[in-house]
Amino acid sequence: MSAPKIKSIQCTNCGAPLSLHGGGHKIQTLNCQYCGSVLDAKKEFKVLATFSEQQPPLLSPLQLGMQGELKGVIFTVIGIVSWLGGSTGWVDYQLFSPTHGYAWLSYEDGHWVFMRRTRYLPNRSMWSLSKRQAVQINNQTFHFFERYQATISYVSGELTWLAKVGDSTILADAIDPPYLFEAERSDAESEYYMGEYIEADTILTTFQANDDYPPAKLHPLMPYRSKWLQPLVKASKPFALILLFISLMITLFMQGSTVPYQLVKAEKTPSGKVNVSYEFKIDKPKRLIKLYLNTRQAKTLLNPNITDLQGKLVHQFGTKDTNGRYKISSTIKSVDSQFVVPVAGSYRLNFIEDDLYTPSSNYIPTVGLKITEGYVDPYYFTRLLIISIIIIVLGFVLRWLFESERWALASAGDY
Amino acid sequence: MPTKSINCPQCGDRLPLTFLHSKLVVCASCHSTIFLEDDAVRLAGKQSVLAEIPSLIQIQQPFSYQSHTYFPVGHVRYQYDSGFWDEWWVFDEGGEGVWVSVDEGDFAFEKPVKAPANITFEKLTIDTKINNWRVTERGTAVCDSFEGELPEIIKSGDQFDYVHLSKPDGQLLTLEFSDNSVKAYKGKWVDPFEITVNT
Repeated sequence: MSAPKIKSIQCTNCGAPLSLHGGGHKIQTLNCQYCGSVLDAKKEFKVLATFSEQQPPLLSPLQLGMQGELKGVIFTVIGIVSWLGGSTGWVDYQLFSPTHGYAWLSYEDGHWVFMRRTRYLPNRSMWSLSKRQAVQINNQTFHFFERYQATISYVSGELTWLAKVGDSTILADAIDPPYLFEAERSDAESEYYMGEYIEADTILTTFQANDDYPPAKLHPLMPYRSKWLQPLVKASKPFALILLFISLMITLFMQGSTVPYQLVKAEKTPSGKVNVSYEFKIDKPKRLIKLYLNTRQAKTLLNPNITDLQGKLVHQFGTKDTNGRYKISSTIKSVDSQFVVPVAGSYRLNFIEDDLYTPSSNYIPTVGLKITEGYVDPYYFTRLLIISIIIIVLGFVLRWLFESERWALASAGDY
Repeated sequence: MPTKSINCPQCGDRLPLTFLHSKLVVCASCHSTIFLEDDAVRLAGKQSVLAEIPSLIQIQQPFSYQSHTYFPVGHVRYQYDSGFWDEWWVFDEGGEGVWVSVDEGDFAFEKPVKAPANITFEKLTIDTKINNWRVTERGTAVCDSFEGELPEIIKSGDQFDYVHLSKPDGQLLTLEFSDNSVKAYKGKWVDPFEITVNT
C-alpha cells in the first residue's frame, strides 16, 4: 500500500508551513499548530477561528504524519486533539487509511485505545443508564461506566469535524474490557464509537514512537491479567469438573463389598490384657481393602495388625508411640486403614485391649468393625478437587478486587 | 454461473461477460462503453478511465465477508458535495448482484428493492423519521466514471438526488431520485475490517 502523498500549504493566518497528510475528502478543518488557527479545508483554508494560547499536550508520543499498522491496516496520524475532562486529560489522534477510512487512537496515562465509528446503536439510551447497568450493542453486552464532559484544549492537523479550543462535548462510556462503546453528544447529533484497548508496546512499536513515561497501573479497559493464576484458574475449571465427576463415581459406585468376619480369639495374655483376633476371607487380592475400626473410646488398642493364618504380618496400622509400638489410643474415636493382600484367602485382624481383666466366654469386644474389599479410595481425587476449588476461588477473589479497582476509576460526575 | 462472450465493436477485443443480464460493459482494452440490448451490442462512445485510488475492492478480485465470497465485476464513481464515493457491482456465491458502496471506510452492501410510493426528495430532510427509518444523509450525486460490467445503463454526467435512511441495527435504505423515478436499495453498513481480500 502506498503512503499518502504529503502536500504542504501555508497557514492562511500566520504563513507557517503546514503539511497535509492526505486525510481524504471528509476532512473539514486543518488546524495550525503554530498560531492555533482553525482553517476551513472545504473553503480554501479560510480562517474559521484562532486560539493563539493553545498549549500542546505535555505528553504526546505520536506526531502528525507518523504511520503504523493496526489490525493489518496502515494508518497515518493526520490530526491531534487534546482534551480535558473530569480530573484527567487525554490526547486523541485522528488516523486515516485510504482503504479503511478514519479511526482514532486515544492516549491517556500511557494507555491506548483504538476507536472507530460504529453504525450500531445501543438497545437503550446511554444518557439514562446507571453505573454497571447492561447495554447491548450488536449482540455484545457492555456495562455502563461513566458520563462526563470533555473540553478541547489543543487542536492540530486535519480533522473530519470542526474542533475548536474550548468546545465541549458530553461522552458516555460503556465497557466490556478490552472493548469500549462510547456515545458522544453534541448540540447537533449523537455519534457512537467502538473502541479496543491496545497494548502500549504495540502502538509504540508500529508507529516507531517513544513514551518516556510508563503506563499507569490501571485503565478502565485494561484486561484482567495474572501471569500465573489466570492460566491456572482456566485449567482448574475443567479439571475440577473432571475430578468432581470421578470422585462422585468412586463414591457412588466403587466403594467395594463388605466382607463378613467372625471373632476367633479373645483370650487373656500373660500380662493380663485381652488378645483379640477376627478372621475374614478376601476374594479380591491385590486390590485395596478398607478397614474401618471404631474404638468406641473404651480402651487403647495395642499392636493392631493384619496377618495371614500362619501369623505372617501383612499390615500394621495405628500410630507409633515413643517406644516404637503401634497402638490406637482410646481417645481416637475411629480409624481407617487400607491395605492390599497378595493372595486370596483368610486373614486375621489382631489387637490387644489395654485393660486388665479376664474375658468371659461370651465376651464381645468393644470395637466396631467394617472390612470392605475391592475398594477405590477417592482420597487423591478429592484433595486435588479441593486444591482446584481453592485456585478457582482465589482467582475469583483477585479478579473481584481488580474489577473493584477498575470500577473505582469511573468518575463520580454525571451529565 | 453461465458465461457468454461478445467482441468489442470498437477494437474487436473479447468482452468476458460473467453475467447474462449485464446491461453495460466497458471494454478493458479501448475503454469503449457498450450497451447490451437483447443479443446485440451498441457502442456508446468512449469512457474516461477511472482514476486509481487505494481500495480494498478491485475488479475481478474476490473478497470475503462473514463467510461469503463476493466477486466484483463493475465499478462506478460518483461525485458529491464532500468528494466522491465508489459503487461496486459484485456477485455473491448464488450469482445474485449486490451493490457495495465505499466512501472512505464507510462500506455498505445493498440490493435493489421496490421503492416506497408517494415519496419525494424534498420531503426527506435530515432526521425525518419514516417508521423506524431515520434520514441520516441527503445530497446530489453525479456519475463521474465507470468500468467493468454493470446491471443498468449509466452515463458519465448522470445526476440524481439521493437520501440515506438508517436503522439502529445498522440497516441502510438508499433512495435515488431522477426524472420522476425513484430507485430504492436496502442493505446494511459493513465494517471494512471484516472484509478479507482473497488472494
